[in-house]
Amino acid sequence: MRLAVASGKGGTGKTTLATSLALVWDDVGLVDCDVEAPNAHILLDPEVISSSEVTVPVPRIREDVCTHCGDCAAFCRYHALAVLPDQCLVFDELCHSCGGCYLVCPVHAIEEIQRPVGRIVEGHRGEIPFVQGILNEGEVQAVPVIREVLRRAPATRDVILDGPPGASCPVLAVVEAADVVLLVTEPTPFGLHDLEAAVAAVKERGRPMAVAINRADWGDDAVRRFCDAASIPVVLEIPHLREVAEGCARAVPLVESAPALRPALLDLRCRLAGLAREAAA
Amino acid sequence: MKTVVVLSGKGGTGKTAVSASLAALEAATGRRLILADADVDASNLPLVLEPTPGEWHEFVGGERAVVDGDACTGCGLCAEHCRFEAIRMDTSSDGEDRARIDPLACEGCAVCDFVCPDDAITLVPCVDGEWMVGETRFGPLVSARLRAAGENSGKLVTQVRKVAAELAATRDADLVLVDGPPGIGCPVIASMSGVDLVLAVTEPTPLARSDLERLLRVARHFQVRVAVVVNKADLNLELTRDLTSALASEGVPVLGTLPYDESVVLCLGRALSPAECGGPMGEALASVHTRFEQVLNELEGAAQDAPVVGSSPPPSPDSRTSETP
Repeated sequence: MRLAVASGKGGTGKTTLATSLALVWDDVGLVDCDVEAPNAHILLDPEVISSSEVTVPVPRIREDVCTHCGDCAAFCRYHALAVLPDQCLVFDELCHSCGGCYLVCPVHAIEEIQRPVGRIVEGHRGEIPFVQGILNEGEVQAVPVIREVLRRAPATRDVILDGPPGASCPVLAVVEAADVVLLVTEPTPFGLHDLEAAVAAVKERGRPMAVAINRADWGDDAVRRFCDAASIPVVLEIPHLREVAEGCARAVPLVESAPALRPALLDLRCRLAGLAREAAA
Repeated sequence: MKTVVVLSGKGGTGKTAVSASLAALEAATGRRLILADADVDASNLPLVLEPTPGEWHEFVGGERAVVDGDACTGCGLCAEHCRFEAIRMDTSSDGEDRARIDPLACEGCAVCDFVCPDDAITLVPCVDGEWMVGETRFGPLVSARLRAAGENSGKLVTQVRKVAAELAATRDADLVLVDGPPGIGCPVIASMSGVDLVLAVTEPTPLARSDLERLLRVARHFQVRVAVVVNKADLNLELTRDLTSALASEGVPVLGTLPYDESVVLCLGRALSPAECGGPMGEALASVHTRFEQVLNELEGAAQDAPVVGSSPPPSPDSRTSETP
């Protein structure tokens, strides 16, 4: 089973939960897909084995061949090229690597080079394989790095994909790779509002989902009512515990600062695998 | 007129609570404010400020490719050239292959349209979301929402910023205050572009610190000034002290620390900012606000092109690639 741990709102406890699930389950790997703000390594404390670059193809103009006709810039949907009378400029950050300019150029003056946009770090914590994607600072597009880290997911029985917050492209790239999505939320108006946005986005992708409510005793029951009405099972409720917040503040995993949660984290595996199987059938 | 964006790197550190509170405190001093919520995926500032709703405007961020099944001859060239895995060849009911484009994967690059020999593909505008201006108790609020599974969230953020800047001009505002998104990618970069100050709200955990450091490096890369507020500071006083002294040695102003305050959740739930509720966080915000005003006034006197402390030099005029530090 590939389990995506996502949320709408940030800071609800995705990484906290994802890392503790990986510590408690056996034959499981953890992939940190929150490439803008990767944190799982801080809680998991893995041994790093290797690190590699993520690159994307971007165009380079051969000025000795280029006739400055402007066809490439006219074609580019992302304004990544500007053609001056004697020079072509490429704005790498805007390029989506579609390869269009390369195809369009009538004199084949464009070649593609690989430009680094991120890194993949691989390692393990004991028996738990760990893969992390990191977007280079200043880079605009997270999705190419997310796609690469997903390609390196380990071949364990289950894989936990620790996702980014939100409801747009980066999250959807992770949801796309998952069999089931666990949305982590909190029972507050912000939590509910952002959960609704995330649920709508996951529904577009047609993946089964379940909800985990963090700080479950610290708000109202609007999230539970929403989940009921939407037939989304609430599979875990974690009470607000100051020792958990303080544990997080010292990079102590949830299952260590609140060991009583261990049975519930183990039970979760069957329930989520069941949802994935039902949806696949 | 100044523009300040509230960011964090890590989600859940208290950006919206701080943004709403600063709006309350600034409005109380008589400043003319324009507010904006640039977290278009998960827009929460309207929940606290309860804007009287204005008209929703559709936002077209890009295009999507669409296949005319009758014109398609199933040659497969489009699928072969698509770099986003958005096109599959499916066998349709008449036994013939036809191209099928996944609108969620399509990035509107038009390569498929270019290579199609049968003119079977068109690019159509895609409504990615909508934006609105509403009136709040502190001034107008520009907010937006992305359509489910919408793309181009960075462009929608740019639109929110643009509308806020236009409003600031027409209403002769003193301050545009933007509640930003988490992360450091496209939407964050769009939200910090051209601002006078990034106010980074962080918390004393190793996770938040790691993300804050990345955010600071991104701000330096784009030559934007930063000031920091440490929220929930008493969760780990040692880490708070360590962080504030590290920031001081890098020349990053710390506007203050705020305590972990369990009453904030209830306060926000009543559509009030912590500054309007009292409570430990609300009280501590007063001195953060004073320091915030000092930093803003210091920006007044700074030259337009003075370098940000610790920044890398600006790119040379003929460089064509972005350098990541």
